[in-house]
Formats: sequence, C-alpha cells, structure tokens
Amino acid sequence: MGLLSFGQLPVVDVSWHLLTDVGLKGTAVNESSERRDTALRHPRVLVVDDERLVADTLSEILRRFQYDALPFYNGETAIAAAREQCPDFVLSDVIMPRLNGVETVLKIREICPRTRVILLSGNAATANLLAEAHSEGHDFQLLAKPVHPDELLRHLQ
Amino acid sequence: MNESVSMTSSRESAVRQDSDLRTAELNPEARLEELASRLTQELETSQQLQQVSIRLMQVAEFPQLLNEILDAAIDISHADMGNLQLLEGGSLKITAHRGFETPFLEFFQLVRDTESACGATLSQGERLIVEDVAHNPIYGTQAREVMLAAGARAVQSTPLISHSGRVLGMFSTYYRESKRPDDRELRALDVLARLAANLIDRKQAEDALRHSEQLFRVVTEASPVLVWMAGTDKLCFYFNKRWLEFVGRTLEQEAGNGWVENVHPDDFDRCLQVYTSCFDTRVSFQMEYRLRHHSGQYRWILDCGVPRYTPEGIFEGYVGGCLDIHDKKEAAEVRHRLAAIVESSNDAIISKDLNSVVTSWNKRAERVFGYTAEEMIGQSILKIIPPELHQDEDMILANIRSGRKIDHFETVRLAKSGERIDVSLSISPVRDEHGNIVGAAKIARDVSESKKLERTLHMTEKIAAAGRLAATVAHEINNPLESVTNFVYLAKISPELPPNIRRYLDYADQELSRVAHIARQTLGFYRDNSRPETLEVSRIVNDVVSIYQRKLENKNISLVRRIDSDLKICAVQGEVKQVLSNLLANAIDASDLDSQISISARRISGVDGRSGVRLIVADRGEGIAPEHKKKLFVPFFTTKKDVGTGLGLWITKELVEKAGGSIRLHSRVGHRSGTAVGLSFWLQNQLPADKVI
Repeated sequence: MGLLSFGQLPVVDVSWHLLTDVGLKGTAVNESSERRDTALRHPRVLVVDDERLVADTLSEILRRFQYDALPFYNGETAIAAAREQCPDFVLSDVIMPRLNGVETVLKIREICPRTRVILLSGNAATANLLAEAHSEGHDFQLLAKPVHPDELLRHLQ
Repeated sequence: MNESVSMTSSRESAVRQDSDLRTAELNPEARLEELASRLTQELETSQQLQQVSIRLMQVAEFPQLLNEILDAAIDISHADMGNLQLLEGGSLKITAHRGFETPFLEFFQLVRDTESACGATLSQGERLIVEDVAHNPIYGTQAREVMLAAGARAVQSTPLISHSGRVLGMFSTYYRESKRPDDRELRALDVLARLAANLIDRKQAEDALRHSEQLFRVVTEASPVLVWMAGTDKLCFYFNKRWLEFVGRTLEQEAGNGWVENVHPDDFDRCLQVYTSCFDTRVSFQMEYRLRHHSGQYRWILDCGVPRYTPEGIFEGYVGGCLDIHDKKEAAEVRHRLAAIVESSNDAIISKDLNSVVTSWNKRAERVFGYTAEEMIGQSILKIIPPELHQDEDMILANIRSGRKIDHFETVRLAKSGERIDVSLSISPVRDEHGNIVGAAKIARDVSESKKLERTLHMTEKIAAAGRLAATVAHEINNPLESVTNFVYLAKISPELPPNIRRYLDYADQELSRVAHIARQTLGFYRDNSRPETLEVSRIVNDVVSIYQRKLENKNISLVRRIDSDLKICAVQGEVKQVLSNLLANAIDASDLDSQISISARRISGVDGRSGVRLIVADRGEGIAPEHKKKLFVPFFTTKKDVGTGLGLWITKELVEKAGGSIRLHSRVGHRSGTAVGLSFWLQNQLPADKVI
C-alpha cells in the first residue's frame, strides 16, 4: 500500500491549531475562526503508535479540532518530546516493540505528573499490563481499538 | 497191674492200668481198690488239668499255646498221636500236630464239610469217637487209607467252643489200636476243651487287636494326613509322623497341650473353643485354622475330629486327621479375589468357548449390554454382535484358536435395547491346565462416553484454537480498522463536501462501526461499551437489506417485508444488525435465481403475559437435511464449503440468547420447501427511556 507514507496524507497547515477557539473545542471549526484565536494555547497531545498510519491520522484529526497533536512511532521519541515540553495528554498504543505503551506513559508521568493518559489497544492481552499499572496507583483509561474519533474527542474533553 | 502207677508217667502205662482195672472188678476188695484207684486217678486228672491250665495261662505265643493244648489232650486221652485244627474262613486248618507225617498232614491240611471225622464233629459241634477207623463208614476210602497208613486206628475229636458259643476249631487224639477213651478221660478232655477254647478265643482277640493297632499305625504313619489322638482328658497322646514332620517337633513336645503352641494366635481361641465344646458333647467337628509349619510359615489346615468308642460303647477320647489346605485355600482366595475383581470391574468381562457360547458374564456386562448373566450364559455371543459384523466373530475365533491376543479392537456391539454401543475389545485365549485353548476371555470397554468426550474435546480444541487465532488476528485487524475509520472521519469533516459524498461517507462510517463491533465480538476482544437501546425494527431491517441489495439483485430475488408499524425492540444495535445480517446472508445463499425471501416481524405475547417481537426470515431454498439440523448452531459447522466460516448461526444464537431471546429454525428438505428462522425478543429487556443512550 503506497498510501501509507505520511507525506501522502492530506497536507495540513500547522498554523491551524494555533488559532483554535477554546470554546469550540470538540467540534469542527472553520479556518477563519481558527485564525482569530492565535493568542490561546492549544492542548498539547502526544500520539504514540507503532502503526504510523494510526498515529498520523489520529494526530491529524486532533489538529483539526484544535489540539496541538504530534505523532510518535515509538515510546523513546515520545519520552524525549515530553522532556522538552510536558504534554496535556498522551494517547498511546499499548502493544509496541521495545518500550510498550504502559512503560512509555509511566516514564512520561515521572517527568510530567499532570499529564493525562489514554491508552488504546487492539488486544485483550493488555489487561495484564494495565492491571500492573493500576496496582502502582495509575488510573489510566483504556479504549479498545478501533476507537471512533467522536468517542476519542469525548474522552479528551 | 499196679494201680498206683501214675497216669501222667507215660501213655503206655496208662493203657496198661486200664486193663488192670477191668481185671480187678471180680472181688470186693479189688473193687474198693479200684474205687480208690479211680479216685486217685480223678484227683490226678484234676491236678493234671490244673497244671495244664497254669501252664497254658503262662504261654505268651499263640503257636506254643496250641502245642501245649494238644500235648495235654494227648496226655489226658492217653493217645498215640494228635492234631489241633482251627476254623479259618469256614475250613479247618491243622495248626498243631504230634506223630503225623507228611502224607496225613497234606491230605487233612484243610478239612471241609463231613469228609472226615473232624469235619463231621465240626458240623455237629459235638464230640466224635471212632473206635475202629478200618470199619467205620464215616470215612471215604481215601481218607481211611491215609488214616490207617499213618497208624491211626481209633480217634476222638473234641470241638473247641468259646464262651459265646462260637466254634473255634477242635483237637483230635489218635490211637494205633481200635479203642475208645473212657468217661474220665472224656470228661477231662471236655474241661480241657473249654479252657483251651477260652484261651484261644482271648488270644485270637488280642492278636486281632494288636494286628488292628499295628495296622492303624502303619496306615497313619504312611498317611499324608496329619493324625492325632486324644484321651478322655482332652490331652493328646499321639501324633503321627506326618504331623511331627509338619511342625518339626517331637511327640514329647506336642503331647498333652503342647500342640496348641503352634496354632496361629488369631485362631487360637476359636480353635480351642471348638475343640473343647465338641469334646464335651462328644460330637464330630471340622475346623480350619493356621498351624505353624516347621519353616515358620503358618499354613491353613482342615482338622476333622471324631469321638472314639470301645466296641462296648465306652468313650475313649478323640481321633483326628488334618489336611494341609493352605495352597488350596490360597488358590481359592485368589480365585475369589479375581472373581470379585471381575465382578466389580468397570469393564464388561465375558468368557466364551470356541463355539462362541458365552460361559461367563460379569455385572458390568449386564449393565453395558442390558442382558443378565442368566440370559447370556449358554447363548451365542452373536446375540450382541450386529448382523453386519458377524464376520468379526470368525476373525476373533481364528485369532484365538491360533493363540493370538486381540488388543483394543474398536467395534460396535448391540445392547438388549437395540442401542449400538461403541466398544473397545481386548480378547485373550483361555487355556486349560494342559495348555489347550478352550475359549476366550473378552474385556469390552464401553467407549461411547469417551467417544462423545473425544468429539467434544476435539470441538473444544477447535474452538480454543480459533480463539487463539482470533486474538492474534484481532490486533492485526483492529489497527487497519482504526486507520480506515480515521481516514473516513477526516474525509467526512472536510469542508465543502458534496452532499452525496457526505452521505456515502456516513454509510461508510456506520458500516465501519459495525465491522469494528463484529470484529470485537467475533475476534476475541469483547469490550462492548455500547448498551441496549430502543430500535425501530423496520429501520434496522431496511439498513440491513440495503447492505445486501446488490446481492439480492444479482440473484433476482424478490424481498417481501411484512413488518408491523411502530414495532420496537430494545437491543444493542450492532448485535441486532449482525443477527439479521447473518440470517439474510444465509437466506440469499440458500436461494435460487428468481426466488423469494420474506422478512416479517410482529408482536407476540408469551404465556406469562410478556409481550415481544417475533422476527422471521424465510427463504424458498432446498431446506436443511435432518442430519445437519442439530449441528447448525455448532461453531465451525458449515454447509457452504468454501465461503462459509461456520460461525454465522453460532454467533447469531449467542447474540439472541444474550439479549434474552430465542431462535427457532423450521426446515424441510425438498425443492423450494425453504427454511424459516424465527427470533423472539421480549420487551421487558427494554430499558427505561432515560437510560437509553
């Protein structure tokens, strides 16, 4: 599938989410209103998924809804980004090679304790990893893939 | 003749005295003398008899006794020769003799009937006197000649009669001249005969007793039986060789109560109790107890004791014989144990002869096959073999005859009820003690249950494998599904989208949600967050039909919808759509070209007053074969070969039942007879309106 490279996705103007109206968060807004609210900071979201298409499309959708969303394809780069600037949200896949989702978000939480975490999983085996995190006092939300974007946006609100 | 001459001096002098007495009869003085002489003679005879009797009493040996008797008889009768005959088996046998040579002895060795004077005497039980053998008609020519040749001219025979009147035999004394013994001599002979008869009688009885005792010893010592004897005091005084060898002890150790030391402690009380109680009541007993063998092993013996009595009926104690029954008893115990094992076995155990006739039939066989042992023993085994498998029996018998065993032969047998039972047979030849094959022992294990279990297990494994596969596939499917959902969403929110494209994208979005839902339900990741909601039946049906519109058109199938207006159900939308979709897809697959499918829905009320909805999807296809019917709702069962997953109806049933509904299927085989699947949903599953999302 030649379609899968990020470069072929619909090109999105990065200036979009800098203009988002907070009051309209969660609903699609037109470009003109986005441009009016440049002064407001948009919630920063790190989207982590080893499936590039998932990370890219989710980031894209969130940016359309005035989130400052950035895709990462592994835990390490996401942690590095969190070190630079703490995100408001981390949206991470659970099953990933090397550092898994739970390990990744735990690391980020160490750096940024106030960051909210939503985990996405397509596999029932995540239950164990999650139970581990719960036992350490972390109350991560888990959503089953595929998550409809509307539902995801509801959770981010 | 000098009358004072002693009679005892010699036989010649006695004969002379007798003739002197007869000459003295003429004058009174002589008569007086004669009387005095007779008196003296009588006295002498008495003394002689007394001496004889003392001597006889002292004789220990029987032959010597007989000789002494004979000598006394010859002396008393003043005879020249004599013999003594005893009755043995109806004949007189010469057991002692004086003055006879071989020809006489040989001729008269055995005397029967009245052939001789002796025979005549015996037959009458009286004395016989023959004064002149030469002229007495009692003898036959030959006998007379033998007598005369031996010098016997005259003879007297006196029978020997016991106290009890039994004729024992006789003694005879012979004279070389014709003569008759006088009265005094005869009286003395009578006295001697009585004395002799008693002594012979007693001696014979003693000998008989001694003989019988000797015989008893010989028999008991040679006997394989352990023999003991006890006196009236209950104490044992005799144990035979076999007993002593068995316990490895001496008679002295065993005597009295010594023997009980070797009785097993557990049997001791019972053994003594039986022994003493039977002893006291003088009844025979039989008991089994363990006796310590010289090897140290306690061996089971069977002891039979009987009271002993004298001929007069006086109790003398007990005599007993014991048999070592240890091996037999152990063998019997092993047999009983084996029999018990066979009876309690969880397998049917049957034996039969080489003609297939049943010879044994255990309890389990009764349960498995339904026939009792009485019904089967003596009957042919073919009774439980299905007719088409009768040739099995020939194969089995051929193997058995050649000594081969058959292991785990899986086949089918017929129960009394006619039910066919899956069995696993193990058959072994049965041999007699000579090693000849005389039949077969058959162990039949009922494997119907395990076969069922095997099938279930197989199915479970299949499901488990599918589950594992599903879990693996789930992750792989959910990720692209996520991407596609996101792409569709991005397309949908693009500004200035033509309305028809937006509508298509809305459909695509709806269908993707459904795919996501199904993927979750069927592919193992089931975290259904959606809740039941009130759904309009006609809308659901229309939504599903629109998905299959193209398929319906391809087969030119006309769809008839009969749906009551305002009919609503409360269910999870994705699930109801999944169910309807499965049923409609099946109906389309079952339909021929230009066929018809009907979907109807109407209100129903249950027996308990509940109201609900019945939804029926019916086709006019070929129908479902009866043998497939009961497997329809089993996962992975499919009649569609390449295109079916075998999951559709199974999931449908799961979903319907999860929603508290039920599913029923009606189908007949035949052209256009069709299949109708009816679903019932009940309305109390309906959530209150405010809870519905």
